[in-house]
Formats: sequence, structure tokens, C-alpha cells
Amino acid sequence: MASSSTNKFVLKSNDDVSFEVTEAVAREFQVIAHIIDDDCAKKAIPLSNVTGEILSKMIEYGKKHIEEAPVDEEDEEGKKKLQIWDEEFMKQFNMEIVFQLILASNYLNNKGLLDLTCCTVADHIKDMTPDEVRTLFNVKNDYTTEEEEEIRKENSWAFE
Amino acid sequence: MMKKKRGTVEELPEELVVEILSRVPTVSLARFKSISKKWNGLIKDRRFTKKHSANAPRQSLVILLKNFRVYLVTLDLNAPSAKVTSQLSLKGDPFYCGSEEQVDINEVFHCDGLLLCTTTDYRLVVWNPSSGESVWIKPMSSYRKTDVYALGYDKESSGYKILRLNRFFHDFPFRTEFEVYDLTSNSWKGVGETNDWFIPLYLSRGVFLKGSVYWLALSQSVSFGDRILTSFDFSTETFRSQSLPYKSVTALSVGREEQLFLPNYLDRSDDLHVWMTSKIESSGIVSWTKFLTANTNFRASEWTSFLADEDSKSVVCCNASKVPNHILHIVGENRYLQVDLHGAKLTCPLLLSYVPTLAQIQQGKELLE
Repeated sequence: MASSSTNKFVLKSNDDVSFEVTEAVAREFQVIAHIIDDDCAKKAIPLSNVTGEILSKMIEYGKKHIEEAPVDEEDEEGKKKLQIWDEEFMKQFNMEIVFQLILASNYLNNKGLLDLTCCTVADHIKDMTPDEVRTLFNVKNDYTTEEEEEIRKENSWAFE
Repeated sequence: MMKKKRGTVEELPEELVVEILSRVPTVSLARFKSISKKWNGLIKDRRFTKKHSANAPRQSLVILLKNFRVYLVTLDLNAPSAKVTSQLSLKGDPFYCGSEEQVDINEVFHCDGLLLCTTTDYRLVVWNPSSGESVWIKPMSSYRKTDVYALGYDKESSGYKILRLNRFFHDFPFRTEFEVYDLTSNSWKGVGETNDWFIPLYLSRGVFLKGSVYWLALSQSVSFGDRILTSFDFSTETFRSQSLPYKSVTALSVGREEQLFLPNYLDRSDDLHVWMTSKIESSGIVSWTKFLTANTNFRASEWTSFLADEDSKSVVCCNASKVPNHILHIVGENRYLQVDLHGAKLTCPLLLSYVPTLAQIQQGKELLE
């Protein structure tokens, strides 16, 4: 029987881009792991909610986390190295891509990447004004002027 | 994928917005409540606050109690500089005075982002300044001016508890009775008494660390009058006393990295020595190591409240001398600086490190509802 490092699968994006990956990398994504376990992965695995651009980045992340996985829980150096790589990895994306990565890592169920991408957005917005966050998240302000003033007053300490 | 508008990012489903917001620091979320009614409701939701407590980065702020009000202080110990930035306002008990007026705060005790405050009219309130929530606590019989209080979190029962020390001065040695209030069941109960030790008013500001509250106390048993370290474990609801390495310790403080700090003056020199816990065993036994020695004209006294900062290896002190002052003293190994806070005179200044949280005061309440 082939091991998970030699056994290959093909992942296919919704815009028909195919990626050949090892079983270990494919299993980084819970949803794909289930498909493999259910033995439904004879041919290419179609991923209807992910574009090729996003999928290639997710595979890059998955590969790195397989190759450079910390030896064990105590491997602080290994963890630190991977953490630095994660930070560098995220720096290349604008918020539009990061949001797409969040949706895709939620869909394919990769907890590590979901956490990383959510932390990236959290860090990006933490010093923003409410208005800037509204624009980024496309949120409609449903307060009346008086209501908004009231709630701002209650939390005025956080604005200084 | 969903179709997106140009110039904005993908609209996320609420569960993913929650994932992101649960990783945003508390102070930013207090600002984001004004984004929309929906976001405000989400940030206040109990399930969200639990998730936030687990996911969000820990922020460490400094608060100052002066002239019966609580203020946020921005401290930069590397510059160094200090500035009072804004006031946190506690609204009155709606059932008591029915007013929206601010309350005069006498003492503040900090535990995991919640403040236990006594008011100048001898009432007791647990307050989360970040969420604005407050819970007024009814006394078992009545509160006394001489009461000493502490707030703690009990990991076993996953809830907050208040400890009241009811001190009696009629007999000698002085006697102290203990009562615990459970914020989950909303009830007081007596948990014992002692005359082995005694906490005088000038040492009555305890600190909470890892499930216990610590005080400097005066021994009334073996080595009468010696200062000892007394702690109360909120899970087992028992006290423990231990001796200190140095007798002339003046105050107790808790650092950002969960350590206790203890300043003292050896011999009669002006060298300020600050000791730090090197280890706190699960039994509560504490061992100490030297954190800082500084030669300074500044003289810390019993009423001095102080904060230690591991990163800049310095301490910030605030004296409550008889002479009204509004000076913060920043003391490091090779530096000493005074920062004028430009406030009204500090009647009873208290510096505390404060970790803002959205945590609900009555954690287990949904189980009872």
C-alpha cells in the first residue's frame, strides 16, 4: 500500500485549475480527508467553492505545514520557525485575498489557516475607526445619529 | 464563490465575522460597538464574550484611582512618559439611587479585568469598565468602614467570588472573620475566622494571582508583629500564611507576567530593592529572587502603590503622602524620573495593572436561568 507521502491526489478548483498533491498535504484539509476516507477520491477532487489562485496558496500553506511540522509539542524552535513563515506568508496578500482565504479555509476546514487568516484581519482592523471597519466589512450603519452618539459616549474611553 | 462588489472585500457570513472579531483586542471592540446595532449585539453576546476570552490577545493597561474616580493611564517606561488619558465612569445603582450619576469610588481591587469597588457610601459593586456591566452586591448584614475586600476567580466552579474580611478591634489579638460571596449563586457565607494574623488598613490592598489573593499581614502568633505573606485560595476557600525573606517590606504588587513583586529597603541606605517571585508552587508556597536594586532619593512607604514592569526593568510608584501630590515616580536600575500628572491632588492614589476583558461578571448564570 502506498504511503501518504507517495500517494497522490488531484485537487481541481472551480475555474478548472488542477493541482497534484501528496495525500499528506490533501489531508491537511479536513473536508478532503473525509472524501479520501470515504473512498470517493478515485479521480480529481472538484472543489466548487475555491478558485485556482486561492487553492494554490492554500496548498503552499499545507505543504509547508507538513514539511516543517514541529517534531512534538515541546519543539519550541520548530513552532517559532513556522510562525515566522506564517507571518511572512500572509504579508503578500491584500484584504480581498485574505477574506477569500478565510472563506476557503472555513469551507475546506483547515483550522490553522482559518486562525492565521482571522488573526491577520483582526490585527489589520484593531486600530481602525468604526467608519473604516464599516467600509471594509460592508456593514450598514443602522444607528440614528442620537443612538450612535450615545453609544460612542458610553465607550468614549476607548476612542482616546 | 459569492459575487463581490468592486472595491470592497467578500462579504463574510456571521460565523466568520465572529471568528475575526473574537481575535480583536477588547479596547478596539469597545469602539466597534458603534459600527452597527447588529455588531453591538454580537459583541455583547455571552457566547461571543466566551469565545473572545479564549481567542483575543491579552492587553495590559494601567489604571489609576484618584479623587474617587478611575482613569486610564498611558505609560511608556522606555521613553519614559506617563499621561492620564481618559476616565472610566461607573454609573450608580439604579435600584438604590435611581440616578445615572457617577459614583464616588473609595477602593478598587482588580481581578482578570473586573474591578471590585467600594464606594464612599459603603456599598460594594463588581464592575467591568470595558463592557460597562456592573453588579451591585447586597451585604449579608451591613458593610463596615473597616472592611477589607478582594475579588477572585475560582477555576473549579468557573465563577467569581468576593472575599470580605470583617475585622474586630475590641479584643487583643485582633480577630478577623471571613465571608465569601459567590457571584454565581448570589449568596454570602461565613468561611471562618482567625487571630493568628491581622491586616492593618495600610496593608489592606491585596493582589490577585493564579486563583489566590495575597496580602502582607502582621503576624499575631509566633513572631508577633512580623510581616508575613497571607493568601486565600478561592477554590478551596482556605488561608495560608508564610514568612517573608525580609521584614521591612512595604507593599505588594502583581506584574504582567503573573508574578508578585515586593519592594523593601535593606539597612538604612536609600537603595530600593524589589523582589520578584521566582516560583509559586501549587500549594501556594512562594520563593523570591532579586528583580531590581535602585539608588534613589525616592522613599516608598506603606501607602505607596507600585507597578513593576519586566520589560523595562523598572517600577512605577505613586505615593500617598500627607502632602498632596500628583507625581508618578519611575524607578529603574540607573534612572529615576518624576512625571507630573497635572491632576487635582491625589487623595488616595492607587495604580493598578488592568487587563481589559469582555467577560460577563456572572459567568455561570446561564446555567441557572
